[in-house]
Amino acid sequence: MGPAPAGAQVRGAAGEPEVMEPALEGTGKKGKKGSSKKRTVAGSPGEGLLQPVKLSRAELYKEPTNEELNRLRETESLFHSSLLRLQVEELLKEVRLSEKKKERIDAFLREVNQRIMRIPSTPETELTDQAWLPAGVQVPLHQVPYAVKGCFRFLPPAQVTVVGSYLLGTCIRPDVNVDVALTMPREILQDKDGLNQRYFRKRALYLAHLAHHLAQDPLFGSVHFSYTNGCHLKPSLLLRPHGKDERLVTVRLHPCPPPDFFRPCRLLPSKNNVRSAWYRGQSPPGNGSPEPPTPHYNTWVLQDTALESHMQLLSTVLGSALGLKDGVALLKIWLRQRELDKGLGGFSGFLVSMLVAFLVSTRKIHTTMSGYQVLRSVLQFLATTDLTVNGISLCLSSDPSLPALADFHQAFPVVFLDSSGRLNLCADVTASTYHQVQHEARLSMVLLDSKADDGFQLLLMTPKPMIRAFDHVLHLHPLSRLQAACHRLKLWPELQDHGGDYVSAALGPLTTLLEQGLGSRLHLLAHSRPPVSEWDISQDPPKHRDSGTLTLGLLLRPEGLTSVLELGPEADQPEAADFRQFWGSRSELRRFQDGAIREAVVWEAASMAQKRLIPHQVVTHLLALHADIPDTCVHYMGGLLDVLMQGLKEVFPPAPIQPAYSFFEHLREQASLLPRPDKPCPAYVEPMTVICHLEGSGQWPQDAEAIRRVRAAFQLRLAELLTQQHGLRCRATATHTDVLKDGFVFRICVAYQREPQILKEMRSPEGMISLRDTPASLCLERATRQLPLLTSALHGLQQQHPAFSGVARLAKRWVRAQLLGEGFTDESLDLVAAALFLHPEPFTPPSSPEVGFLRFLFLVSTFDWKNNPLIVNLNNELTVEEQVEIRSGFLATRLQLPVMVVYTPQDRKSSVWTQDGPSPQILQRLVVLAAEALPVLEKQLMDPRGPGDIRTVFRPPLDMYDVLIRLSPRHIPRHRQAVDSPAASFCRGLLSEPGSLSLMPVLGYDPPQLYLAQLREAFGHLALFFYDQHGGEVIGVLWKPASFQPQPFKASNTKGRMVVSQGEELVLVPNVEAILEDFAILGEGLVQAVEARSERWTV
Amino acid sequence: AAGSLHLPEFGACWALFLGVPQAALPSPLHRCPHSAIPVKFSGKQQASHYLYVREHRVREGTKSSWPQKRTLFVLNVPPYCTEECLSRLLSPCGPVRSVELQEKPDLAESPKEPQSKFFQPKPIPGFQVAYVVFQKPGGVSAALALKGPLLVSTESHPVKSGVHKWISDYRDSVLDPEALRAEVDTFMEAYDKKVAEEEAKAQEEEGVPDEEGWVKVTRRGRRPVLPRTEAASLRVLERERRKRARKELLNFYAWQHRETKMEHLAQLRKKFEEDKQRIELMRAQRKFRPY
Repeated sequence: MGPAPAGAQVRGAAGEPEVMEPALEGTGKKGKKGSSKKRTVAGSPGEGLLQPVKLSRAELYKEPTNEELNRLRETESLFHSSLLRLQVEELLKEVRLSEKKKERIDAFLREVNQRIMRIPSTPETELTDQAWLPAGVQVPLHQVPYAVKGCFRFLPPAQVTVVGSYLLGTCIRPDVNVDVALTMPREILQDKDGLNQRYFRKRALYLAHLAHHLAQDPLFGSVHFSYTNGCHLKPSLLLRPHGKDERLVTVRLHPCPPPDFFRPCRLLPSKNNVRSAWYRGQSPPGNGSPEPPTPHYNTWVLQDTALESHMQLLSTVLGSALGLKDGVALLKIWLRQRELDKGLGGFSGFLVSMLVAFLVSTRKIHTTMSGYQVLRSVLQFLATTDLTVNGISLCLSSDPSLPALADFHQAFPVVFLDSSGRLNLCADVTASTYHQVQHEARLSMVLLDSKADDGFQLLLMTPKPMIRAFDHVLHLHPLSRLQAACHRLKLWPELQDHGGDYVSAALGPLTTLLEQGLGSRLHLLAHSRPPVSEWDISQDPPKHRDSGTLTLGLLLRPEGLTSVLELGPEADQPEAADFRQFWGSRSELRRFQDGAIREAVVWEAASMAQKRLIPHQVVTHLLALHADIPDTCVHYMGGLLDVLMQGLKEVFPPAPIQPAYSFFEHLREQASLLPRPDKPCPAYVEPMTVICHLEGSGQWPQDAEAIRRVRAAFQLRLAELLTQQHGLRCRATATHTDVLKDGFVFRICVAYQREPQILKEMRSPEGMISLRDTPASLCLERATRQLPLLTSALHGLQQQHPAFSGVARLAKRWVRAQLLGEGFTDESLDLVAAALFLHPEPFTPPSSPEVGFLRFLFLVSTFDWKNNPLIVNLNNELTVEEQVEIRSGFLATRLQLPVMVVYTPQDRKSSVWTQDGPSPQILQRLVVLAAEALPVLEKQLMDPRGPGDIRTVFRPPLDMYDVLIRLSPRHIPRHRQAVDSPAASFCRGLLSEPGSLSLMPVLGYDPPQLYLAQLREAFGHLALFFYDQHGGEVIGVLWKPASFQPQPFKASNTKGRMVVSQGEELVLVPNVEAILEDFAILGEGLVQAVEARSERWTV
Repeated sequence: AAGSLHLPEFGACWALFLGVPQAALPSPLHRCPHSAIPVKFSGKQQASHYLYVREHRVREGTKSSWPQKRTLFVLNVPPYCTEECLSRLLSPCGPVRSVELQEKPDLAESPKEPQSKFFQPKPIPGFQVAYVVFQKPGGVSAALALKGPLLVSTESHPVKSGVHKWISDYRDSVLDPEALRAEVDTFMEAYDKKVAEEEAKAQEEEGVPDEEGWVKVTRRGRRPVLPRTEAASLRVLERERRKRARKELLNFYAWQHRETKMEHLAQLRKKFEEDKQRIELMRAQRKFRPY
């Protein structure tokens, strides 16, 4: 980096604490909705700033009342801490339905009930004859094959019952749904309706007729169809009230058969109810072989029959236990934040309610427990129980006619039986979904056990969208490819079972395939569930391929990720054939160093970035080989941002340089090269700093000035010795020695450990020596003591998490590309990036730079910098108690601290790396930018058609600046590093082939930085200057708002201003025209044009 | 085609420029205690900065090292204007003895001891003030009547700026190590001599009572004492405190029990208050909206 204008920074920092509060407050509110203002003003003490609590002695030590003691005891036994208790109470208040709304919903339900009962009946027709249906409504079901036996007529339902969470009081806002079961009269149904989708056809027709009549009613704002839990055979009808209540509630109508209509033994998982002859128009291959069982189909029928019994079970269990209801509500929020509850096979609120009921029946949960304890117990149960291996059952009877759990395990990946013992509640849940739930539960348990202060925030309030939770994400698009995949994978029985839903039929086998292929690289594979769509009643139901895309998320294991070899069995083993079959043509015989000849797959990857992308190769290869999905349908989102890091190749990893001598002027005595005015600016070479601590000795002088001279003498001697003994080219100065070795330049700084202390010493009048921090001592301490410590800690972190460097580089790149780089030191951004790895909760440490960068944006945009320090617990040195202590210390001294406070174990009080910036405005700007950039980038990465221009979020908006100074690329040494890398740039005087080099190259010469330093020194009091040091071509200038206010004539005010008369007075205003010309003069040669947008200001 | 982020303004406070009544044409004024001299970088520029100059005067009794009557005080010297330039620009008014540029007005002349170019980084100039000392008082009055505009950089005396200046600065920053060595050696010789003298003086005074009979005890004596530092005295106090704490009995008497309990309760209460405040703040920030 170029020489930073130290003076300007110190000055800026001095005035900050006073400015900070109003600035953050003012802009913070602006981003939010206006409605939040009322509360902010009314309630919060100290305008949104936490203050240390001051209680009088009398208040602290007064006799406790009984009530208070009870509450304290309750908190201690039922909750983790009083803070958690208060937070949970607040959250529940937020999601609970108010009594007023309940009344309105009840009134609406009564209306709905009456309307339904009044719908006229129809005469009986054949199921295939649907001419009686009016024109405005379509049957909400794909009738494939169309021909089916049976008759249908519409009769008003025998019974209308409200089922589900609304009655239980566990429904949560927003999106309040009320499920209503309509019992179809027995006359509609016939024997054998369970066969060949006849029941589902009738159900759909029943709904269609209902929909037609209800749609004409002005009571309803909208009447739509949807699939119940995303199941394509089971549509439901959604009713929403008219007018302003439209968003109040959605009533979902589910037709169901009369009780005891279906014989449960016909619907066991081993039974077939969809005949191949009917479904495929052919008998199963090999006459006489049994029909394939249709477990999912059977389950869907059974679900309809069991609606009421489940309701009864839940209401007896949850009935009066408030804690359980709270717990269910919390669990629902927990699931929803993790996007686990929606779609076919989602872990829905109903499932967790049943799980709570199960835990109550096994006495793991007691009805007196608090909501928090229920949450904890359920998570604990999920984390420790693998339902894919050991299923559970709510059924208590030991009836021998009931099927065994093992039968269910054969048919379904996850098993959780209801109280009848015949219905698997988790029938649609895939193994991956369950493993994801388990994974989340485990993470949450760790978080709850860690006693972290903000566990509540991370557990229940932080959304975990797929793109931010998983290292790599891939989209399969278009979905119609999966149909071919089903055929390739020979999944015909599954298709028959799923009623032709090839997406869910293929999901299980595909995930298994990829899990096997990714093996040790993979920690967890998750898939998105197709969203539950809604459609108008006059439209055809959406096709399977319309359900968007299938998104798979890969959580990678950093240890195994980068291996280029898949080691197979030895060639003569029988497993070798399986291995060959699995990997296809990629598998080859190899001879290894230990003499073994094995099957193996080797992936081509040279650099670390390519190695991180081996999963991409694996996935595309396996999908093409086994599922017939070409790579044009696989949209892999990983490594997309690598371009932006590789643009910085000149910075990292550093490459040896070989200057072309003719490009430079020579300084013969010092054997150094100099830039020439008639050539473009030479390449930017930044020396690598080495701190060399000398052994302590009593011989050092005890005077600051003398120490500097001795250090300089050491530098000279060091240079001399390196030249003499190793033949290295050295250049010594008073503070450092530059050493040239093999095309790399190192800057060795000699340091003396006691020097900062000597700079700190102050002698009081009584002769007492005390230590006081001075700017010089702090600066020296930072450079010679704290920086090496930090570097080694970060190096350790990088060894542990190889993605760290990528995340830190992307973060810096982005901050600088937004022209805000000046306010943030390298180290402060490194530390923020490190925080993502050390405190990843509720996520896991990122294994790819992209996801790390997304979380960086999320952290920056949501962190409450005003009230919280960012504690980066390097090497895990800080205990929980110490962190609490640090936090309280922070609150007590908040106003003396910089706006952005980052603490490390080595720096628990002062936040050294953010001392000199950013200013409140710059930080606020960064927060706003991050909040804007995050959704844009996430949307790009989640777009299955490809991310589009990934650099969008790295381009700074320029329309906010008052003046733009365009620079000539000729004198920008790092021009090629720009975000939009230029197609052509200037020769920078480097030879491509390495050779021996004996002259010291031009070091740290960066005209834009020199220019900025001059600008800030001369006009820093009037304007702010913004620039991207990595090849930016433009400097943005923003006038400070105060600088245009007329100042009284004083010697200190005259800088860059001129006198004008205003009324009777003489005042000073900025001499803008001259200043604009100064911009051009100071940067002569570098500045191409100064664009003043004079419409933006008035003098 | 190249998209970028679209964003609101920098923040409310930045967009708001307080309304300034339209001023008269920006022209230097005569009633001002300073007279204004327009100054430009070269003839090519349109607008000019103004040097505000007046005679250097101080109130009675204030000390100032600048000679009265002969010193011209100049405000708002642009960054590209060096001491030599100023001297050249003002020399038509009369022979100039010295020019000194400073960041802010300072009554005393800066110490004349030459700053080491090895140990002091070259400052980056901004707008500065200058004290120009003429050889005769007539120079000051001539300068006050100067009409300008003055040109900093002319054909005959070009002033470097921009790329040329940075290149020459870079050249200057490559220093001769031999000169550095010589400077270090002279400094250290002088320093060693000074230290030796002080030591000799201390040795001489060792154990010798002063006129009132007091003997100064130093670290070098036969029985060295603790150094008088804050850290050392804190250490002693801490040791004392720990010694006392060891002797005390804990939870021995009933009142001690009671007090511990009460203390615990007070801690809980305090925590509760803190938590309530935190919740209040979170509620204000709408932190309880889960999605």
